[in-house]
Amino acid sequence: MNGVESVAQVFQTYMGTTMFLSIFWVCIIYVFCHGNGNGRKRLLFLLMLGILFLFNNLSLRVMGKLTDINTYYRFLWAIPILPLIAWAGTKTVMERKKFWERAVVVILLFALFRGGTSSFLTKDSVRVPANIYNMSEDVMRVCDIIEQDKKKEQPVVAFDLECQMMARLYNPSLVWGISRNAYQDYDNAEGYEGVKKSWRAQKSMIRAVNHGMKDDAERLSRALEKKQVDYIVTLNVYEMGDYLSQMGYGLVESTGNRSIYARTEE
Amino acid sequence: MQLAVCFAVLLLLGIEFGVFGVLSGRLFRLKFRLYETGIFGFFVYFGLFQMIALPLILLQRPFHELVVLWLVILAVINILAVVITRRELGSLLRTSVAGLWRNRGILLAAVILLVAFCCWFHGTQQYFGWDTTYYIGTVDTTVLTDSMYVYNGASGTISKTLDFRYALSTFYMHSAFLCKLTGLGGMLIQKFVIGTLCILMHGWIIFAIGRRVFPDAKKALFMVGLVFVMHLGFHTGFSPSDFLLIRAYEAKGFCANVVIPALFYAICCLWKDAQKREHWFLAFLVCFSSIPLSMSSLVIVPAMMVIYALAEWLTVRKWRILWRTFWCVLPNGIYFILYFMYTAGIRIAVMQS
Repeated sequence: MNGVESVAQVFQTYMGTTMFLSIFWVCIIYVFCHGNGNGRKRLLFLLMLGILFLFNNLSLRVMGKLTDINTYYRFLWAIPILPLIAWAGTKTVMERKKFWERAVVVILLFALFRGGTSSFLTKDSVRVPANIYNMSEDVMRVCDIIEQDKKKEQPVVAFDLECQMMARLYNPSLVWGISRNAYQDYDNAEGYEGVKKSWRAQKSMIRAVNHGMKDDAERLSRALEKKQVDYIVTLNVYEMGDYLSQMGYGLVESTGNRSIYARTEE
Repeated sequence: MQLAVCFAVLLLLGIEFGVFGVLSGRLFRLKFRLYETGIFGFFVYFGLFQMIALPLILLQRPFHELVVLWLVILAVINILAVVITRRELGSLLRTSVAGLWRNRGILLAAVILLVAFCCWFHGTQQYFGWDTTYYIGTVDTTVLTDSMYVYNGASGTISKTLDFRYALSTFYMHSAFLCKLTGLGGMLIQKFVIGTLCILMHGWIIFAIGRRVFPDAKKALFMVGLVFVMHLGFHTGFSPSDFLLIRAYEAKGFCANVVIPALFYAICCLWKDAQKREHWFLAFLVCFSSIPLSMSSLVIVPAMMVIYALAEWLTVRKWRILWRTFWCVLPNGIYFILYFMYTAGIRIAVMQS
């Protein structure tokens, strides 16, 4: 969760458009009304201690310094929202005989879904994968081509972003030529203004393989040399063949979407 | 064929959790309810794996040594279980089948179908994030390079130091162990074995919570069904449901959906009877095995334990509660000190670099 500023904001982002938090509070009141003396005390103390130690802005900052503020939302997992709602729901449905009470629970459940906007079940999510790896067949083909062509046990490959995210899950012997941090921070076709010197080499590779830029041959050549890149995988639409051949990379094979270039000079 | 192997591994893991649960129950003279034995065994299994694997990781020993050692330990434990607890194991199997038969009906079938649908749904999701590349990459890289956390799991490049953010938890080394054993890739083991295991364990723990709060098994089953229905509608990217239905194969998924609900279950047990040894043992074990399952548990689990224990102490005013809680959170405290030292710059250099 990026851009965390307050606990209220974390709760809001965590719950999204669902109504689970509101229903959770209703259930808390229900528990309080139905609990015995000690049960009520426990519940009150839990709420107070939870707010005192965890769910306040000071704790947010302290936890943020100890671990990572962007992962603070995981503390919200400690609140048993779904089990408590399910407990109350079960009591309402299974321990009551009246039809209207059962109907209320059903309506509440539909309300939680809010017409399906926060549901996992969408037209695109319920699908049968094309292969057992549930991966793009094009990426798998790229990995197979490099596997057959490689001269080193673990060749270094500069992948386009989509391919980079999947390639090592299919063939772990391929080593990334461009790091995760470089892709996360510098994935655009813009120039080098504001880019730290140590990142410029990787930035030049991203510009070429992921955006098809052909305006910086010298820097790219140095970057490929520095990172000892054995293969370059880029999209066919960029038509990088002539440009990369200047740097000593020749076409090995093309798939439906991508071309694989290998270092031809030693 | 690969899916059949995954299913067999899942079945074997289930048997192992039963064996570990029954045997450790016997060794520590603990009497658990039938449905608690598997949960107990699950945490003993991963806690013990951590005790074996962590020293090997810190010593930067080759991965195959861990595989051999864990296989030997598994063999010894299984032989011991057959010799010592044969009768209990038989009884566990018989009672489980009898329990299922007793509760047969539309409700049981519906809940089983719903959980099975969630397992299928998780297996078919096409989610590839940076975390996916790191975690599954770590599993595959471990098998490929015969080393543990020496290489960066995402990129495949050699690391300068052991990354304690991940290396203190041996969860992915266990997945690598399964890969080595079956010859399957990390993607398949994580997606179809570990992910499914997370969903099944989550359902099992919710059932246990249900049994603890309702005396009737049918109500507990209904509660499991409701929880899973709600999971299908809690899609926000940060919710436990997201880590159950999309990213159950990640350690974080286990933290959100197995470790934390199990700790909540242990606390429910303590609320019912804070004197019972079994309840404290379960709380300790969940805390002890929380890091082996996920580094996300580092602060969440002890914080949760302390808050729940303080609330209990304020309610019944017995000092023993705080003393026992101290022992429960001690393992996480030690891990926290190690992690803090790592973030302060005290690191273990990788020997191969």
